[in-house]
Amino acid sequence: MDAFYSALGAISDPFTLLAIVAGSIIGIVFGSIPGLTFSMALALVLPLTFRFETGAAIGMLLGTYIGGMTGGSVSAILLGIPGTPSAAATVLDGYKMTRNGRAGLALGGAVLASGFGGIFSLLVMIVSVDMVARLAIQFGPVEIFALVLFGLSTICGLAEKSLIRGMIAGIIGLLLMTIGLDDMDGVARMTFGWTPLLQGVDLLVAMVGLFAVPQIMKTLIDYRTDSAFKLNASDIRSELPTRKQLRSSFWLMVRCSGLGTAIGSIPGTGGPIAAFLAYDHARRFSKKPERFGKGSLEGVMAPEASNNAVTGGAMIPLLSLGIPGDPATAVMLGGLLIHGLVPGPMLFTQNKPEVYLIYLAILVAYVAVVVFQYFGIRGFVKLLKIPPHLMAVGILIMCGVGTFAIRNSFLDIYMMVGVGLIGYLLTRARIPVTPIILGLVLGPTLEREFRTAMIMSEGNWSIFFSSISAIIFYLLTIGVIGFHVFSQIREAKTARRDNEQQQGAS
Amino acid sequence: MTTQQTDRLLGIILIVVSALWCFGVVTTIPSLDDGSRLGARGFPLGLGLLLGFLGLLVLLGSLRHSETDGEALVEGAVSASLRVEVWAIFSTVGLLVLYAFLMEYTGFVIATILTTAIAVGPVLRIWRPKLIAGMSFGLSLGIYLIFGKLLGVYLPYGKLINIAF
Amino acid sequence: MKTTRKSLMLTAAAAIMFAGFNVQAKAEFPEKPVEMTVLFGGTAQTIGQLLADLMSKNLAEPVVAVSRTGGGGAVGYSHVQSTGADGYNIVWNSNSISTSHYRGNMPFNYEAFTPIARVSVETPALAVRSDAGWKSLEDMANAVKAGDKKLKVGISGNGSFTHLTSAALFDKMGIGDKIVYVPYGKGKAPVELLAKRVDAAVQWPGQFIPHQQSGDLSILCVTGKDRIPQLKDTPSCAEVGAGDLDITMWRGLAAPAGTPADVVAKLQAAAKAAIESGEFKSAADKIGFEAAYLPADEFGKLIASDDAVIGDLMGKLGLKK
Repeated sequence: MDAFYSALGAISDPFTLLAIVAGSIIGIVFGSIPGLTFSMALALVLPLTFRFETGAAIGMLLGTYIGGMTGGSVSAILLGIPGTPSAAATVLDGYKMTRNGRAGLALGGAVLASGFGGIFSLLVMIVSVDMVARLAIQFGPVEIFALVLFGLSTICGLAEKSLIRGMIAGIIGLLLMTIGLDDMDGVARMTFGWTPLLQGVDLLVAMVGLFAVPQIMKTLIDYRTDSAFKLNASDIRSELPTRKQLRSSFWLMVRCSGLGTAIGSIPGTGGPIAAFLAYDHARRFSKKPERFGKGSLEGVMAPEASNNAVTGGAMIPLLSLGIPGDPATAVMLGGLLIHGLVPGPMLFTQNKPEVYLIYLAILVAYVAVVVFQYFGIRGFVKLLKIPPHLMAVGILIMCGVGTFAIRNSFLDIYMMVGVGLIGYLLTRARIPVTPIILGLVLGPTLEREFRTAMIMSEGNWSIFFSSISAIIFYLLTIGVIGFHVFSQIREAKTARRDNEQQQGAS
Repeated sequence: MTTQQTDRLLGIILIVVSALWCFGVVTTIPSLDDGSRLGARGFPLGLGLLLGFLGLLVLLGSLRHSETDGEALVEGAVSASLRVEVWAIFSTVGLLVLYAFLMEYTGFVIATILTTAIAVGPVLRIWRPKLIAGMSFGLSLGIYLIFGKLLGVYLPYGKLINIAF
Repeated sequence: MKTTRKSLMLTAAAAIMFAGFNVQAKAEFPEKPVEMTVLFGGTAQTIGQLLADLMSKNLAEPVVAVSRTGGGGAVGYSHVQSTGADGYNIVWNSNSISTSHYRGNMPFNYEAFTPIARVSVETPALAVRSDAGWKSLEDMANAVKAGDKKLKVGISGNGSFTHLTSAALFDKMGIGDKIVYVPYGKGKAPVELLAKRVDAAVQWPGQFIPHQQSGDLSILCVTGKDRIPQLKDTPSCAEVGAGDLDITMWRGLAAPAGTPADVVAKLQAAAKAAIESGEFKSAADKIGFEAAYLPADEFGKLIASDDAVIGDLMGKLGLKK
């Protein structure tokens, strides 16, 4: 208990609190701007924290991480462009809600779900860090491959009408990610000997291209044809979720937070997968699945609860095993080490006060983020009053700056434009864009884990069926696809019968 | 264009892209495959072939229906707007390419001022001097101060000339 | 219309005026910020940022750490190599200059750069699970020789530095043909070792130390000639039967070839002061780097001799192109 009180003392230091709040704000700003993400914010904040006290340093880093994760939803909802990869699933219904004049509700739902997911995962971490870590490392290449395959099956739900078209989109995403240096064998792929292309297609670059570029084009078309989508000032309400709405989605949030925590705790997976799986889960088990894709509040809250639960989940292997699961936690690891905290099994016995400090800092950061974002909604919504064509110019500039800043590469800007153009033309050919994102997000993991498994088994395919959890994921995948194909065939049959009946009647 | 026509075009393009892709994979990716495992080639090659197969399905599907079945595309029906659409595509791509090019050679500040001014003036044709000046300087100064100075994001430094506020 | 043209011209004129403010005649290097290209993320980036920060204190203009990751370092090397040899573009380099070149990913080699100073060294370590019952490197080698199963070793990637290190180590132990290398990205190898999916791992010591303290893993040896400060009780592989094995990874600073000697000297002095500061030493220790300054000429010799060793190793492994 002494350790807890000393942590409490450290956290109530005004400078520490200030550092956490400042970190949260920086995180929200970076998270909400397409192209700038919390991974970058963390790398920029880290040198500042070198000279801080341990508490303030860790607090600031955690605040940035958490603020960045929740901030991604702001631009996803208001502009239809996800601020971070984890917020890609939030666009699906969040942006539709904005177009329906319910931006405030979407933002409110998102931030409350975020806070819920984050604190849920914090509690899981406190209660069962050791057990979860031991379980999570049982997920080897085979199991992760199976999980990711299952993640890809959500294409069915995102493919709108035609599974073939959804698959085409998914494969385009998977193919894009194979360009560049192959990490496993260290060889160049599809670069044709051109060194700059070795950097490959960055996930964020492709995402900014796919979401922002078509958006700018559409705004310009609307502007020129005078069919601009106009929101009356009175339509922009900062209405917030009612208690009833929150209560009805309580269990959904619990399930999605659990999902997010679990996925976050498996190194090498992360936020985007969790968010898409949560979205698919919410749609599948919703009482009103037909509302999904048209502006469903559940469709916003599910991915947001889930991707924020990933933060706590990802802290589990980081703290208990010293394994960073993604670039963001890798920066966190550097911050912890510099302050003499060595993550690993001994952390919980040797550095008890600091561990409690981390728990408290996460709690404070979530409170700060929720308060800021919740009360910021009225301000965010005002952004919608800017004429869309001028907003488009601002988005264009921010996309240029943001895309460059990811890796300080001009080539990335050209790639962003290229991917965006392809994305736009594909939508004109009725190919849905969201499965491309799924392919981009899951592709590298899918390939890496598959090849690692093959290397481990020395080419013996039976390794893929050596684990029960993997087999369960395969069955789920087959089930989801089978169900989808079956219902499509049935739909086509009824449609044909209706047609014949109509013709017969006339 | 009818949906059949776009589908036919899509199918053909996908098959061509798939063929080119697979050719690229086979000729450029060194194969380290010792037969016991999937090397660097397997994944892109398999997916490339699958893309071609799906393209073929789309093509066959579009051929199966007779031409009269085809309903005109809703968006495509407004053929007068095709010119506007092409204009929008070229403007967006052009502005972004210009912006990237300017940033590389003239640095962040000049590039942002010029690109914004061109976007508002010649592209959107809003010839309001105050708006043009305000937006171009506002955006450039705002991003420069908040991101460049306050948050420490690295903004491109021009190769030929560079200015800073 | 006319007023608009005018406003555009005014805009341009104002832009040029702003330009005027910054153009001042300063004859001495540096008269503008120095860009330090960082090739990798994670702890290498952290140390790079700190180094840039500390170097800025000893120069008239700041050193800015700019991350250009990707392509195993090749992207960043190409960028710096293509810039003018004026000292305003330097690279936070490492042995990756040799591995990337021999892998066929860069058309130039270390000779495209002129060395400034070595900054740090890192020594890979070999670890196994404690319950495997192998107390020493020899135990392990004998067990592998006696058994008919191949040893699965977790590394960072095929052709990566840890791969080369382990290949050289196991070759010296005479078990080079009974190894399966399993490449994992981003520091995942220790988990795979803990979860019993691989039998051994060659990674950076910092990744193993917490697990050794908890008793789950044991570090058998480090691959340098000498022991390292973090692990005083762990022998070097050479001490326990690996012949003359001596492989460490250095990091340092370099500029495009042809950079004037006085500029290099200034950068070297700034780097020396930064590396020898207490702040850098303690941060490097905590993160698992060993601060190890070497002046430009000695650093250059080291790069050349290591390049030969790496080229030779990669040729033996069939990784050279």
